[in-house]
Amino acid sequence: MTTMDEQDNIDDDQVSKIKEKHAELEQMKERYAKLLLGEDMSGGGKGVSSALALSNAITNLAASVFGEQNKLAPMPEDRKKRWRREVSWLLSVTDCIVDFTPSQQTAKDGSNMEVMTTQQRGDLRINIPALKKLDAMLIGCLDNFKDQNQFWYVSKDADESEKGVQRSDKWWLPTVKVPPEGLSEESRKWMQNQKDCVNQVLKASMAINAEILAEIEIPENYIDNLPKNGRESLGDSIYKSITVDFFDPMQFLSTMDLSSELNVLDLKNKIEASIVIWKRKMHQKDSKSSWSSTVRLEKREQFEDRAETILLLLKQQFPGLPQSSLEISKIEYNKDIGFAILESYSRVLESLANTVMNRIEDVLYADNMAQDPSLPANKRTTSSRVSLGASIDPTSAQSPGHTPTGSPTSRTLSDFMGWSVEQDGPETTKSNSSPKSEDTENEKYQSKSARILSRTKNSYMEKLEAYGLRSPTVRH
Amino acid sequence: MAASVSSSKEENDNNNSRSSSSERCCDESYSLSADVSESESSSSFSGRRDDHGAASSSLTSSPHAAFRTVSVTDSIFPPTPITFPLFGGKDDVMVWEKKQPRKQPDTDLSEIDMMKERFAKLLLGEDMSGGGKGVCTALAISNAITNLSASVFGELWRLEPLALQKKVMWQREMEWLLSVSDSIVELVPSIQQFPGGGTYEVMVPHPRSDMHMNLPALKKLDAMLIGMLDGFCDREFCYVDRGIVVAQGDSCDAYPSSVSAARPSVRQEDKWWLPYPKVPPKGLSEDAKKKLQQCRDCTNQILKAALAINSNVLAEMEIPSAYLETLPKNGKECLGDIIYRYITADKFSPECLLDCLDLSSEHHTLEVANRVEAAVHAWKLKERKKQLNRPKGKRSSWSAKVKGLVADCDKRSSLAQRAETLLRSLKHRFPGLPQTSLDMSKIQYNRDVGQSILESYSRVMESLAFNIMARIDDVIFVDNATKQSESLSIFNRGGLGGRPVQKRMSPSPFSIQHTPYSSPFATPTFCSSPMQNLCPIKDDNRLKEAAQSCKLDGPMLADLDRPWTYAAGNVPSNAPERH
Repeated sequence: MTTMDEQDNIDDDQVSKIKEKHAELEQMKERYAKLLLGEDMSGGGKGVSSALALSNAITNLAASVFGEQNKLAPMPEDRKKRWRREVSWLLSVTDCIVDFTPSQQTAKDGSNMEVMTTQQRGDLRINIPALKKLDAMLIGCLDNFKDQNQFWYVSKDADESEKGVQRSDKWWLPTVKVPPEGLSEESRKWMQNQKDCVNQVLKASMAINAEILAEIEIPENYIDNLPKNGRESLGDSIYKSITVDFFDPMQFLSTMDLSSELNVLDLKNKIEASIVIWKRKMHQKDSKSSWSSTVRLEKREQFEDRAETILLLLKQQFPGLPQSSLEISKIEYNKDIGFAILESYSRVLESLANTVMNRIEDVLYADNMAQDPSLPANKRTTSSRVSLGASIDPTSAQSPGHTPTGSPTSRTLSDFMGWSVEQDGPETTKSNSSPKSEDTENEKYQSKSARILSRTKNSYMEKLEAYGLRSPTVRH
Repeated sequence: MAASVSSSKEENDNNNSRSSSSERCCDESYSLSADVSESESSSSFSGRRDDHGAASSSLTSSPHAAFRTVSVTDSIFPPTPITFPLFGGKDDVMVWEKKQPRKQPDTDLSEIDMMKERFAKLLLGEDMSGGGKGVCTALAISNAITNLSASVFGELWRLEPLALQKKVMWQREMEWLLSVSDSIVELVPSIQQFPGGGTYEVMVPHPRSDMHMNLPALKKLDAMLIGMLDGFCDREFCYVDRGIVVAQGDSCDAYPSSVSAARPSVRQEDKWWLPYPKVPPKGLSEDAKKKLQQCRDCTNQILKAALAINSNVLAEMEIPSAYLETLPKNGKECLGDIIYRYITADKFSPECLLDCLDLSSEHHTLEVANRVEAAVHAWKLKERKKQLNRPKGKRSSWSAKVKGLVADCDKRSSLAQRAETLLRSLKHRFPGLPQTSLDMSKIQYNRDVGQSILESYSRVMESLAFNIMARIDDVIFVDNATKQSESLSIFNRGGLGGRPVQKRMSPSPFSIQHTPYSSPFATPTFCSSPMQNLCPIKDDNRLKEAAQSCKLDGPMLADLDRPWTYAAGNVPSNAPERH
């Protein structure tokens, strides 16, 4: 009897497995079909390019999977599964993107010859595994909160008396409650650790995103819509302040109205546009004679340099700025499928990391409040990105050459990823304090990823240092 | 029958020059592929790659592909860095790159992987560099269907059930490709009832009407053809390789000795690789013969249906501006003096004109069709331009017919009409004509995914039906000959055109060629290499060179001079009527 039952169970199991596979295949077909149609369901071929279709698909998938992640708790299993499955469909496109590399091959008779072999395109080979790792780390980090009992959430609809602490004005989020005396010392340390870890993920995904965006060609469309010259793009007053004889970027910024995000973004757009204009003009001048120009070449180079400095400072001071019009334009008109996937994947991870970061900050803030209720509430009510960026003292970023320490701690991603990248002594020892569970999880990746990171790490880290800590727009 | 994807000579030249930047080997083998008439077995170039899968043609589509018949034959290919996976002719043996690991993944997983890979390539538009320089989705799908059919049906030389793995591959991959059509919808207004009474109008998605009508029909035709092939499992006739017939000469008792003796040599045969049907000494039984005839009739109907769908879809496609731009300035230039004179004469009879023209070969006929078609559109284009300039110009159609009163424009429109009539007559007379350059241009520049699916699917069904019918005809012919004890081979059947016909099933000529990345993967390069051990190399220098440059020592055969669908001169007799 029992064997019969078991048999039945196994059969049932297999049947359901087959059904599941079948459903997956069907879903996959549908998804790919939509990508192929470029979102134009009429089939008339008026849809978007494959690159944009993939980029949109990743963005939308992330929005629907991570959109509801407003607590520090493991993601529900079904959503986790869905994310893994569907993102793997989209990422699988990158497996087919190859380039040729010469390689030595020994023929049967022992003679050596050089043949062209194909392998995955370099940028994908390096960045996709790194992003996948970051992805796994973030989801793993959320899983870590499974057993914590030091804080809990109270629904936003609860009675005022029962409500916990709301750090920012995000009324739609559940409020955080901590024990009256705050978190335990151990758990506070652990939270800090999680925060550091997520912070590193955030920085790494940001760096990859910035790198890819920089690599995407400036679209013709953007160039066509540029004003004729830098003066027109910047407006007279800004143009004047940039072209003065003695230019001090900090001074310049202090005269600007940077009170709202909109203003900052506007300034960033203008500066970016004029950089493109000047660069193009300098380039054109190379071939033409320059005597006709009202602005001399060296001058232009100098202005362009100044504008770049301002851009850098803006990035440091306002890390959470939304995408500029140049960036949006690049994403929209990019035709390179590899870039499209890297950009969107890194962007959604950046966004998720930022969300998790904010949730951790919420808890830490509630803890602070519990410990010291007299703490003025408004001290930290500004949005999270400012608190994130708070560790960078704007005044410390006096010159672009000066690299501010980007994170609250000087730990790097590799500490958390367990990758054996050479580090200064004290920092490497710190990595031992990272949560145990993570270490074991990371070991799987260690051997493979270490190589990858060590190659890319420098550029990421340099960039990170240069940018300071920028948190992405919160995309809820 | 405008079915084969065959490229005209010009097209080949274009391709060659376009691909000149690509690797030499690909270049060479591509020219082969394009020129091979009725090439039936294919060789897909693949530089050594880590994931062998990417080598385009569906047979090679995945390292995980569950083809258990894959075998490696060292003897045929010496170790070279570049090896050619050959889909060896008659026995469905695929010769793979040697270093291919033979995994045995669980099949569910592999299907998912294969599907991912297939769709990824479509998304990349065959540009494996990922740079977005690939072809548009419509063309990518059209190419994929064409290439898939070339690898599955390319070797349909016998009336026998399709090998299981090919059938599975065809059905599975077509399902994937056709799944795109499931998402193609149009919004139609629909009246819905409120629960509490009253109605409201909403737009609901509905399958696009052309897809809704034609796709199920095509699927049905597909199933019928495959089913028919399956029905040939217990046939009374069998096949003998031609090489064997010749080698054994008189000892082959199945034929009157004069059969092989009468034939000059294998080398001079067209379609020499087609196996020879062999019927029982007394011919087929009455039943078998009846069944065969039924199959033929049925196939003929399928062929007509596929043809009708194909020409409808092609007619519906927009004329690409690229085509219009290349048109000569005026109709005279298009047509050439003789035809122009005929067409502008006072009295015009298309049939008379056709009788005068040299339509002896398909090549010539197609040339005429192209010219006439070009003239039609050149005239129409001019007229449209005129109308734009003079929007108030009033023209009544009858004035065109009134001699002496014809204004310039009216004359032009009447000429266009005449040319159209001529084209219709021509197509009527030669229903099996390959695609005209306008058709090819439409396929190449079409951006409508729905139309591209319908066009390519109907085209490959048409080719398949044609080939099945041709094979049935072969058997019927041999049967008749045997019964009459005539010492004839199918190749000597004078009345029927002398040679067996075979519709070419070749990979799409529109696969992109311009990046060094793409070519080896985008285009399965086909060269005919049936019966490796039996056949001599055809005496063709170009081929030899090509073969050498590809470091391929195996014999390669191709019919370089005639990229046409079937043998010259026998079109009307065997081709079904176009209605």
